[in-house]
Amino acid sequence: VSVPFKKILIANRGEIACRVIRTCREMGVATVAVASEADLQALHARLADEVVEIGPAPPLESYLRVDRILAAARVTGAEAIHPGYGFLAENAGFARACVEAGLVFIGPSPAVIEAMGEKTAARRIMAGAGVPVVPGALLPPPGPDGELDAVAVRAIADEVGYPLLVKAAYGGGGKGMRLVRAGEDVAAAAAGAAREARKAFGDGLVYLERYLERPRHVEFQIFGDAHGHAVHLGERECSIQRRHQKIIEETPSPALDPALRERMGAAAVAAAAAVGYVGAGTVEFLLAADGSFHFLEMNTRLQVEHPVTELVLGVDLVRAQLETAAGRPLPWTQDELRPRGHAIECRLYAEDPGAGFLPSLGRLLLYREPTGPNVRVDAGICEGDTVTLHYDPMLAKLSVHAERRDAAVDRMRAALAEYPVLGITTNVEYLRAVLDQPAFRAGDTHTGFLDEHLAGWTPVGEPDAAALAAVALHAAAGAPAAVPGAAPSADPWRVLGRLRLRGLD
Amino acid sequence: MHLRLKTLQGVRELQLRGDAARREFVLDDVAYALVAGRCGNGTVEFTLDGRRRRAWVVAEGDARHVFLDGRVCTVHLHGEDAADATDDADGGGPELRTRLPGKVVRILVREGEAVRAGQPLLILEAMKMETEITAARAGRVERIRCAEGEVLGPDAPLLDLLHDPD
Repeated sequence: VSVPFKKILIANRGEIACRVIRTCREMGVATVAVASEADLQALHARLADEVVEIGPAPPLESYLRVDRILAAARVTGAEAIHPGYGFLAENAGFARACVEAGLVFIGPSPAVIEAMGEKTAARRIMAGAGVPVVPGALLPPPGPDGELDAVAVRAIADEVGYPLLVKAAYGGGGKGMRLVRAGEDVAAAAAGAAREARKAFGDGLVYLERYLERPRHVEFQIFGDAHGHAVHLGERECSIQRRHQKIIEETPSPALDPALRERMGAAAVAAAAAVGYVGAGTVEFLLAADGSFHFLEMNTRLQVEHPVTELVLGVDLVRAQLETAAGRPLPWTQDELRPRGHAIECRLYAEDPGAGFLPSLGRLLLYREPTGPNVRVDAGICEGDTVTLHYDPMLAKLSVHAERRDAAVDRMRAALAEYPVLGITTNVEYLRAVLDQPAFRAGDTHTGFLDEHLAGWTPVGEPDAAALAAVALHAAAGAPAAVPGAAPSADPWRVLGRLRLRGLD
Repeated sequence: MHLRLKTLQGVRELQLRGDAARREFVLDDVAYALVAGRCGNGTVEFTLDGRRRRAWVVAEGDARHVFLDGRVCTVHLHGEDAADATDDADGGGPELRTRLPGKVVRILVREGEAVRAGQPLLILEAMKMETEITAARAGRVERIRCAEGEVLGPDAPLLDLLHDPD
């Protein structure tokens, strides 16, 4: 089989750039990395076949510079651009500039990116395609006396359903927002919200939206090709979030049974078909406790958490992205996509959960990755690298696959225990604490899980006897006369090990 | 071998006795049976009271970072063992440095200004989050060594703060 492209440029950095480069190497596709001045020795720049420097460290002067990225593609003769996630991945203007420069943008068309980026347009398209959206309605504007028609408000509210949120149409920051649980309270709440909204935003227009309690975040991976095919690749449960930032994802979702999966999957495929989607995308839903689900948004790119889907299906989503971008048909039919077992991903962040999740910057004095059957690490860093303030604090993703959910949780706990990162603070201990919550073991996750179960969490901090014994043995090994272990051997690797150890001290 | 380490709880006394292969580990007068395994390149393998363990340890100045069983602890060499421990490591010297690299958003004090303990001196920004740097003790700002808008690497000097005599 011929390669879909001879050479592509990856307009990204970190773990996702490394991830894309690995598949390209397997396929025989040459790779061009772009790197800021700060990243010339970064892992992605070292893995690629070629690297082009595109400016100073701040993203606005490098990874977000469309002109420099296109110039890099031109001078290296790349045929296509993979945007990764973040940076320019969902920037319709960038996708359009690629097409106009005669390059293939590995992703959906600029028009689709644009339509999905605008939230109300996306909602309209989805509703038109029969995909459930969170029920909502705009109230008629207040009369000249500033009063709302209470009867009309009640009728509209009954249609939306309870509980509901009253929101200022042009609002934000919680101003004008009220939670209403019963119909008799809605008129007063709407009137109050309108008054507050007029004062805060100069417009008293009010919007009603159904309120979902303890919702789960469940998303479906979808894939389309230029021949009119669209499939879904199952769901990912991403409810474990801190301030809307996902930290643990898994598939399958503990909340879905085959019937619900079938219905949500069909809705996701309908969403893809409605816009003629080509490539990898994700349809995000909020799933309520009663099994009702609603469209949240569509992401027109590869997701951070795509490895869990790859693990249970045995597919390579990046390979499929390259093939569909080159105009080839999807490599699988819906029937061929049969998930097996359970997969979990944990995101490793350079942050200090014991100090308000402040970013932790500095040098990775020691960084070792766990290994073992069905343990996968997607990293963009190595030992000795420096974590700077310029880029996302996510350093790596640890994913595991096992036959059942409880076995996958066990495997993840064991893998995290063998994932030492020293020199900067990471969230490894916090991730283990999340996995150890009985509610997590029970699969009882929702988007408020961390606030509910880990609000007061602090790291242990004080070393136990075993940790102190390790420090003592390390100190003894550093002293020339006392190397623990067997008698001195002539094995050159042992000798090298000792030399390196002293170098650290 | 005898070692004194400063931890969050205070000073801990550690002792390793016996030969290289079979040792006794004494922590604050409590003895544990210790069998040392392979040790090199940051990895430390051992058996403590019959339980096999694998830890990773790295040195940074007088600090020792240890990772064991998914948990990180940092301890400091204490007393006669801390040959390279200096005054400025615990904020005793006049020079105030940043541990967190970042951008200087605002400088809140002027040279010559007297400051009280806990007074905000400047605001640093890293990864879009702002951190206030405060004076550890009362004193006088002798020299400001950074500028607003400047991007600083780790361990960069911020200002010289002369502490009032205790």
